[in-house]
Amino acid sequence: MKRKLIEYKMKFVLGAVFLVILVLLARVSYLQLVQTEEYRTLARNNYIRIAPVFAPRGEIFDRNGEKIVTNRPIYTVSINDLNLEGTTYHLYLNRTGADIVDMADTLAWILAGDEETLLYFEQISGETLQDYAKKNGVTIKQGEDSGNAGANDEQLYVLKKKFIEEKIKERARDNKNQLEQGQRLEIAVVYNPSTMATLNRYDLESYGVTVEKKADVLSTLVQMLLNKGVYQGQTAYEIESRMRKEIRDKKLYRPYEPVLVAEDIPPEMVVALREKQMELPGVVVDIQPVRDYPYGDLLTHVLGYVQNIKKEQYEAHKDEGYLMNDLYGQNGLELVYEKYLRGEHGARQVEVDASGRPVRDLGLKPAVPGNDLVLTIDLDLQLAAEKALADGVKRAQGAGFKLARAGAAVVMDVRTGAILAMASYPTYHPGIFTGGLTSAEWQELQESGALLNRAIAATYPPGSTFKMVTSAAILEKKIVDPEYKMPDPGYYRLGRGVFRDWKPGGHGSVDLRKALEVSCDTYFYQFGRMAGVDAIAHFAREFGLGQKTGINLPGEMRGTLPTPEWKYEMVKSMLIRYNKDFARVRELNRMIDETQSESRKQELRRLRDEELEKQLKKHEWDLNWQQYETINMSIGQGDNTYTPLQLVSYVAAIANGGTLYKPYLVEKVVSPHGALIKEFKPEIRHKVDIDPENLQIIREGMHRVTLPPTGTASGVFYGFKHSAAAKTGTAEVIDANGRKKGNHALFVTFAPYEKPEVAVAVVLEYGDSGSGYAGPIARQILEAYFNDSGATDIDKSKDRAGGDAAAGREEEPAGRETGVVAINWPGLEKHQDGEAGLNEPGGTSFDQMLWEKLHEMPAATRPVTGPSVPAPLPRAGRQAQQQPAPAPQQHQPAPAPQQPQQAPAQQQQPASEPRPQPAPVPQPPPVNAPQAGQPASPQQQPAPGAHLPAQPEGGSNG
Amino acid sequence: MGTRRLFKNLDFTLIGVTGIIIIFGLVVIGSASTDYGWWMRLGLDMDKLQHAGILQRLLWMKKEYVFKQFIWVLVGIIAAMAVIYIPYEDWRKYTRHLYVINLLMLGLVLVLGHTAMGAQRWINIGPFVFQPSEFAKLIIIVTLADFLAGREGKLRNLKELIPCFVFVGVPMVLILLQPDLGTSLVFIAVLFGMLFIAAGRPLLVCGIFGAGLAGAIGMVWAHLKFGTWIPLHDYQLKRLIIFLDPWSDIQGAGYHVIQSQIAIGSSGFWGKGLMRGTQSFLEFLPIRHTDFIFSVLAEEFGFLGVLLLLTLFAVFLYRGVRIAAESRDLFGTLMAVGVVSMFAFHILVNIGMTVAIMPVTGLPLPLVSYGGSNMITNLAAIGVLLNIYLRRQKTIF
Repeated sequence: MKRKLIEYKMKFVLGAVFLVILVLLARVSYLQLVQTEEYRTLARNNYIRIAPVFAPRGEIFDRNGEKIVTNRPIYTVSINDLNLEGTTYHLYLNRTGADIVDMADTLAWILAGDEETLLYFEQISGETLQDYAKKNGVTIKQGEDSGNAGANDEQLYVLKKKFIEEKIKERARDNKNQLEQGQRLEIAVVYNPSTMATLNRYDLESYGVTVEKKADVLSTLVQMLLNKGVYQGQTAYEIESRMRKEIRDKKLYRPYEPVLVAEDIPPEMVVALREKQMELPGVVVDIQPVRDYPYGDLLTHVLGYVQNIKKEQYEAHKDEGYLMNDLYGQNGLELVYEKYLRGEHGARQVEVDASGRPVRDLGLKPAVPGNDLVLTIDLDLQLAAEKALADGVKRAQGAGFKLARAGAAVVMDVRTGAILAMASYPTYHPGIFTGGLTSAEWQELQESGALLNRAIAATYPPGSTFKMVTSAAILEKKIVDPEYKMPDPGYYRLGRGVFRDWKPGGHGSVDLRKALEVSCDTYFYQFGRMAGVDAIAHFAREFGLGQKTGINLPGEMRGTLPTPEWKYEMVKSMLIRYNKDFARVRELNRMIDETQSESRKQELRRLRDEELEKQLKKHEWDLNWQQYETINMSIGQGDNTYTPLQLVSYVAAIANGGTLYKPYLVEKVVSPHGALIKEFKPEIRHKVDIDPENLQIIREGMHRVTLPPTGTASGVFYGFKHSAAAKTGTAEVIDANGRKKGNHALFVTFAPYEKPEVAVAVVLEYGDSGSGYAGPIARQILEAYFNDSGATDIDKSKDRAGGDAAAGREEEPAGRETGVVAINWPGLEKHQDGEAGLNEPGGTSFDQMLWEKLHEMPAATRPVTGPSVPAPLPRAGRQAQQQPAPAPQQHQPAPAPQQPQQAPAQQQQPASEPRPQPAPVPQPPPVNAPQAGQPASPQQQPAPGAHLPAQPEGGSNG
Repeated sequence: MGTRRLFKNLDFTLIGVTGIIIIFGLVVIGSASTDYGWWMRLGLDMDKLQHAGILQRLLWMKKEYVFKQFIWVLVGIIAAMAVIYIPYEDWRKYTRHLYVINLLMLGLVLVLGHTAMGAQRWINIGPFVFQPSEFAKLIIIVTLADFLAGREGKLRNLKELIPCFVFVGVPMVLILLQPDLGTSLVFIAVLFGMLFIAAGRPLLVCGIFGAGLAGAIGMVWAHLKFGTWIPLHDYQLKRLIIFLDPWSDIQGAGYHVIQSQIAIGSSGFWGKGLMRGTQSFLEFLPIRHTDFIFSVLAEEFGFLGVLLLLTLFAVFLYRGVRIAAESRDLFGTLMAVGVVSMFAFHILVNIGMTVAIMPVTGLPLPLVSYGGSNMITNLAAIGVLLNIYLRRQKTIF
């Protein structure tokens, strides 16, 4: 019976035992048979690392197949093991002599200043300082309160100290047994040697604390690299602490990626590392391609540069297979053709062990290099253009124009629109971005202005290079017969305003060709005004000025083509923003923004519109286009600003008979195996609507510019072996205080004259004069184009230090001629080329006028002389400075109705130029309109044909 | 009793099953202790391994731990033979001495304890480390069986049960002080298993067990919820409950459990093959040849291997239960039930730990995990079973 009971109970025991087995079997089946795939993935993630094999980017060639950008391999060192600490100091507490309270207090004061040690305490205790502060009712304010920052810092320090002290005490308390048994207890880890040095000033032994210095793979590696001079100017601590930070981040979200320790290490270092491989587990030496530039900074603005992909770029393109530390084109062609250049990364599958040490390669997917670009750029010509530009800057500086520090030159094939050379000065070496820049380096680079591609991203007033546009308007509108010879008195009168020619006394009798040849301002004042702003603006637009050319480069600027509509909108927005009369409008706008109710909003809008209309009417004169502005525009002054690229396209269109091509830089994209991927053909943007005969007249005029004796660029082309056509330009720049800062020098040219092939535009900032300093640059470029032997000794060697450049250049005919030219007109001083600088009457800038208007300056206090003209209106960056602002002593040629009497009084020219005053030029009656208190408008002005008796069409066409 | 007759009456199923499990275990220990670092230093490489046949791989295994374990097996067999040789009835005379020796040993550990992984469980005797808590389990089974058998028919209420708790409680507290929570829990399993048989009211025993379990869980819950006191350090508690959500601490407490689950889950039905377990061979799996040996076995031999092992254990435990049932006296039955409880609990907790349904307590897998004291204890325990079986017939007639 007892046996029976036991048998019965045994059934339960057996049941329990089998239940155990079944539960386990069920669980294992679930893991192994149901969730297999999930766990397989996890296992693979454990032991298989995909190491990227970076694809070399496509190379970039010039039109003749010369390599401009290529790649070179660099060695990188990374560590796979993420359990790294670098060099550390471990503080141990010994049982004997440990007065824990004292010890913790002392240590905590010192350790609280060490961020990394603080992190250590946060990690071992699992409590952050934030939590600790919250628990103790303290709020940590981060940064913001600037007023009491000092006190706050102190509080924070005390808090940190208390935190550390508590953690140390806690540890000592929790491990009391261990301590009492004579074992030592780690209480802190110090990373920073300077913290350790501070600690060492205390007698740590007396606190029962011993220190042990530990070095791991990372610190051994860093020390090796330091000894070989791989890191410059950094201490082991700095490097290790940077790594530790990265490791901490990676441990959280990318635990399998190796940490990059050093880039571009020397080959002997690679050998040394390979030898010590066994002592440095987890250290991997890899090869990675980086950009290499055999010609240094050549073409750098066009090429752009490559850098590690930025966060936004990564976010935007991560679906295209970019890696976290991938490269990405940051500017120029590298950016535009990124998708062709980047190639396809390969991958190496590596089996690793638990500490990330590679065990073996499982497979390799080779990288596919990016596609190559073949540019339209001609390497020799580009080298010549950059050298010419640099020489030009040096020459101008040598002549005392210290501000001449920058410029641009563009060379275009007039038959296709292909860019043969595009230079911007100053330049930078694109390779500096490879290793990453410090923020100081970056700032310095930005401030130097070298990053800007002045050929497309800077706009300049065209000065007299604009006169071909005015010519086109005059010819097409048939304002005057091109053969008609105008007697040039050297000035032009509008009402009581007098516009002077650059050459006192004028150029004698001048027809259109001659007007271009000698850059006669009077001619263009006269007939440009008759053609009207609409016609001039129309042809400027026809020639593509003030419009983006559509070149495949980022950052192209549009420039400004001033028109009456443009002016109206511009002034209106300025008035609304700044003028006191518009205070009510601003107030109403603000109310509209703040009001919620839609009906109220409508009501307010109505009120606002009424008020606006009233005030606009009051300021009608300011808003409307004025005659003097047309006159300014005729000679390329006023608010015109264009990019050098626009100028070259415009000249190319003149040269090729009126075809405006879309400028392009890339001829084709070729695969690494040579297969054509994409080809770029010339693309016609626009056919200029102009009579070919008229265009021929303009070309003749431009040709005569290059011819002696009176062509403004005859000196430039002295001894030049080919025929050419050109136009010089000089545009005055006024600084923020209204003082003259200098002149921008411009030069446009095409050659050969009979059968044009190539057009060049050169801008030299503060280069003083177009013919003096921009012209020789263009000539040097043309000589390189025509391969004139000996003319330009272009240094094509890869080391482009160019120390001999300045001296050598002086021997050249072009350079010498420039000198001669300068001497030819000694009386003109800086105005060799004879442009109407804005210190001649006539050039009142829109900006100054507007500024005065907006500030309601009473007539009496208006600056008559001196530099008290206020700063130009706020405008974006550099453009503001380049605006040809009026010289301070200038006055509005068409005076404001409020002060009709003032203008004439101030129209005095220097005594040396008495002629204009008694000039018996008849005044066309409408010009007097402003004096009658009526704003002048172009429409109201009949053709000023009064002194054009011989001009048949003039009157009827006005 | 002659040797021949003794031999004839052995439970060969039990011996056979034990033998197969041990051999299986030795192979897995070899594989588990072979890590690629050691292996590469022999000039071997991974590609060779992938193409090598099973015999070749057996030859390439690291033999060090296999040999050591084999020696322990031999020692264990000798111990088992010694256990078998003396009729178990005679042991009852010495149970008091055994109990005292046990307490002395456990006390000694606390004084001289050799620290490993934060627990003082070992005593060094010459070149050997000796883990008294392992032997304590068997000693407690024997002494408790004697204690309970002597109170046959008396254990009807709580008052009568309390001395039993004290009897087991004293050595258990000594083990808890080491601290070795896992082993002390084995004591509880053994105690309740044996009480269930010995007590007059088994439902009362079940009730106490249930209440105790509920109380413990309640305390932990209350601690987590309200921060009430429990007799555990935070890190100890964290280790105990991490199996509920190992992913909450991937790098820390949950690491073992996660890696073990990955090892088991990724192997599938057929397994990855001997020494081809990436989790163990590449050292992702910690303490592979001891606590987590089952993970290695499951990874390399797949579900088939697990099925085989669990079947073997099932047969083994079934034989244990049969032996208990067929014992000629209550003392034998109680000892057999104690041994079965001990084995079953170890199997449940160890495998349960590797598949994340039990806390990580560091209990080895009997007959499979590497470890001398444990192997000797287990084989001696099997000796106890065989001894009981050997002498079963007397009362059958």
